[in-house]
Amino acid sequence: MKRVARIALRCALVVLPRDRREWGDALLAELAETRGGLESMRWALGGIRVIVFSPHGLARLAALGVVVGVVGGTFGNHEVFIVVRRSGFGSWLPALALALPIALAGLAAAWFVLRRSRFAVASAFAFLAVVVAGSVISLANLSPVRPFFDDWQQAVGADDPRVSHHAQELRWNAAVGALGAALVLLYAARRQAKRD
Amino acid sequence: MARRRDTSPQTLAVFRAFLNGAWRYGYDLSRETGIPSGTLYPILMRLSSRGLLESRWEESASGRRRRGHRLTGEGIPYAEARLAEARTGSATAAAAARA
Repeated sequence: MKRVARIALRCALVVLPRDRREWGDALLAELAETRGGLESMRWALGGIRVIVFSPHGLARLAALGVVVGVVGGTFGNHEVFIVVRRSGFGSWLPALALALPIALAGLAAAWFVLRRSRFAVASAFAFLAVVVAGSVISLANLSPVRPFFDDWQQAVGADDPRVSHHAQELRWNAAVGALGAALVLLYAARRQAKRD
Repeated sequence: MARRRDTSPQTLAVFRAFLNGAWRYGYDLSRETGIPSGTLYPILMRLSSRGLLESRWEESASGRRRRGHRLTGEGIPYAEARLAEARTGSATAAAAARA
């Protein structure tokens, strides 16, 4: 159990900024002194709480979460774009023109937050703004989202109700995920800025 | 009413544990005061960022590297003042309760 505690604490250390790393290393060093598995787990969980909920830890975690979300979302949804494009529909381009600025705004905000830049809060606000705009367009099924998904449904089989359901699910997942990530990033960036 | 700084029972317990001026390790402090790591380290970090606590890496008797902490020259009188205030405060409260 001590080994598991050590691995968990070591993983949490990844989100600590360099100037706080010594405190994380101190927590890890003390873990070796704990007696018994339960005691070591309690120590590690307390340490993880300190690291993750510290202003800088949370900010870095949120920023890394946004990066993972953007990369994962791009990887997960690229197939939909490819299908529409290969089927000869032109709607993929306006849809990409909507998705790309959101992804780039997310990556830029994450970068500024990770760098503890003075633009961190402003960029997190900008990310939230484009996410809100994108989510409204997506959930209201406005252009360019609607023609894009119509084309996609046509490309993969419009008769299948599962396709329509899947398209709706994609839109909701993307909107809720992006809104959640943008809100957490903004909260974390503001908390970090206050501490700095 | 604004809450006074460094008057929580946990912070006072940490001050008390540090008063002899010796270097102390996190786990030993936690065992002595009964404060879990998730509460202890934010206190240590806060005191350190205000220059009241200093830390250094050292090799323990077991041969492992550990981070030792102690109050700085500025930290000791500060801790004594907070503890004295807490004692006065509790004595006043006890007297008020008896009256």
